[in-house]
Amino acid sequence: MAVEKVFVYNNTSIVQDEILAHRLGLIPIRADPRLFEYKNQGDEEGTEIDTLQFQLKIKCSRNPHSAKESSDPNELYINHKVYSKHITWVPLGNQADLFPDADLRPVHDDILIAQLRPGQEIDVLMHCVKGIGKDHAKFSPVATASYRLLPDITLLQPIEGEAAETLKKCFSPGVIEIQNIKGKKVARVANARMDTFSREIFRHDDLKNLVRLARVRDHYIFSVESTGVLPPDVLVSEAIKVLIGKCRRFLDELDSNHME
Amino acid sequence: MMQYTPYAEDQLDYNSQNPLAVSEEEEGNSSQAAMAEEVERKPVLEMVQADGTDGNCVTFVLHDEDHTFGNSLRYMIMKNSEVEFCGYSITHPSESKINFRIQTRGGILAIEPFRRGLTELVDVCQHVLSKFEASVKEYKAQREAEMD
Repeated sequence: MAVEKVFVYNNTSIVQDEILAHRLGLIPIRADPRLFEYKNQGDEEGTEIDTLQFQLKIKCSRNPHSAKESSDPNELYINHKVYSKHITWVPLGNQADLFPDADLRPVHDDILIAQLRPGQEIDVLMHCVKGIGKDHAKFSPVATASYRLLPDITLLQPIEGEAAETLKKCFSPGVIEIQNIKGKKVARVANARMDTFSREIFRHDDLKNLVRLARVRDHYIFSVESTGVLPPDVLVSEAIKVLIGKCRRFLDELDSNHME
Repeated sequence: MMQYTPYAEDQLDYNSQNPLAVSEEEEGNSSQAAMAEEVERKPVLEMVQADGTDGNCVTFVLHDEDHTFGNSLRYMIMKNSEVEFCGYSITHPSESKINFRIQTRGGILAIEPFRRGLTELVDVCQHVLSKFEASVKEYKAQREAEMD
């Protein structure tokens, strides 16, 4: 869910209406999009099944209790910084009953939206809708997603003594472990997964031929970060379901074509 | 809100310039009527066959898809030994459709490996999904046990 429409009733801040609307659009909203429907194209009025309404109404004023000689805006003014915590949810239809304890609000409270000076005010109403990242990145609940292959490090010969220490320093911490066998330092691969493939080892001519760096071709390590809207494990499950949905779409189309 | 119907005009052009765009079952004249129907509701899948070839070389036009789906489906279909060639291309970055070509070794119609690829991709997804969900459950249970 992300802000798609902003109704500006009053905006006397120095942030222009369109810039403000854009900034509001990028704020992640903590609401489970699975509970909502996509809004139909051309549907101007939102309903409780596809729209969430939020209000941002704030006015800056002088702080009557501030010290005379103060020059700190934080002390001089009240409400001079507009944060995402000032956004309040306005339930539509039966939403108040549907989400009795649901905390529908921005994921983060401390996103600075605008700065005001005494007398300036912002009064806007926002409509949040469900969408997909292909249309606009603001709809995507994924912050970063990447994958890498599992590193595979093999020591071709036993590496001992000083060389073992150098070897350890060539890799990320935790990759190489030094064991004491009969008073001798012997290097051992402890956890290849920790490696970042820095390739530092290839700068050491004496060591580079003693180590084989490879990747396990069928072991993928996915890293998924969420914006906070949904937990990352749910994102992965939902992504797989989307791919299944794409297959089903074409299978259904094939079947219906054959029926005709 | 911006209102747009992506590539609707484009689609009309595409259909009128491609009399070859026929679906397997209804070749020839009857395809015109089917085309008119297709234009109204947004097409999902089209099958294009060049002149003088039979059903073992077909280009499928998949609408509203990109590398996400194209590449995974190509991977699944390439595993099929009946398939001689399988590849896809994105027609243009601003058009959201892909041309998906399948050429079989001659024995079977191209639509069969296409269908099989789709079903197998669903199976793979379902397997990954169930394994993933089971592992997440196990991990969470394990972590809870550690907390106590």
